[in-house]
Amino acid sequence: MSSEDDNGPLEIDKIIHEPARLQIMTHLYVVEEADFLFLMRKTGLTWGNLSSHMTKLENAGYIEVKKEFLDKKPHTVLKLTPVGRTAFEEYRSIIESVFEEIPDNKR
Amino acid sequence: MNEHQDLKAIEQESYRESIQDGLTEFLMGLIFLIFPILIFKASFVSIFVVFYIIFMPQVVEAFRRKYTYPRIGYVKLHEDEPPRLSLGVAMVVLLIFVIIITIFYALFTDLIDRYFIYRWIPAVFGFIMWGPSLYLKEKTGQYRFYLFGLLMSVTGIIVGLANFSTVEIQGTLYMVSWGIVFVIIGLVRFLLFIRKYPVLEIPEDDTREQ
Repeated sequence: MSSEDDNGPLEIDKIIHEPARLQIMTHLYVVEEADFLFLMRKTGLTWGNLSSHMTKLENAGYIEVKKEFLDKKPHTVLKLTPVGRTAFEEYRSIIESVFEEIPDNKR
Repeated sequence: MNEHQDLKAIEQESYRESIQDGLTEFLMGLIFLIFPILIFKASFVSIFVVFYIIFMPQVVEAFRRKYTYPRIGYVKLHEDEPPRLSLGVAMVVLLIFVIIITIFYALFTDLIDRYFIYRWIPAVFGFIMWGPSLYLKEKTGQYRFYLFGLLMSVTGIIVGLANFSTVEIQGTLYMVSWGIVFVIIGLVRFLLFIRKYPVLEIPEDDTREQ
């Protein structure tokens, strides 16, 4: 856990914590790279939304965006950077620890 | 928490999506159709290997760039991870190894005649196909890929037990039949794929400006 002490606030990565960006990061984590269309389909985001989140993740250094041409059409390929991969793994462990601390109170 | 399993499921789903264009089945069918020539005309092996290694990746990529990626998008899965050596995989590898050694030993010591080998090639090949079967089950998470190994093994044994006028027919019949089956499955899957997923045009020119 990345809190200062046992009662301190959790340092959850706000960039990843947003649901749409978490989806993008999750899908990119399990593959080597994927293009814009693949991520649009998998996340259900519109082109504009995905583009906006992509820019935020790119600015944070979490993803690498490659622009290329495929049959004379622009093609955008996204890939998780090592920084993004580490950030995602840290995010996972923090969230995991949060759920582990919740007492099992089944009624 | 089942987070690891969830990530595995997402990875398997991505793999399933990437092979739903039917190209894998189609190419496997073509290889089966060519196989009888390779077995009975060994001189073709080098031509086949050269073609397969040099041209096949480019052909596959060109096909997917034209028909698959514009419909479902492009995804490249991790390749660097070595396959997990489970007990099942180890047993299959050991079985294949024992079968191959036994065949070579029997062939070179004249313990069994050449016709016996030809007769049981389909069955051996059927058991070898458990390799891809287990691999595809692991990659996709779908149990139906066990059926593929099972059917190929069972039909291999059936063909081996049947009586034909010449033993060459048995291997040829087995390979050609499975080749046709896989080519048809591949074509049907491809037709369903292009019907299900129309080409999507997305205005990607200015994705960075958003």
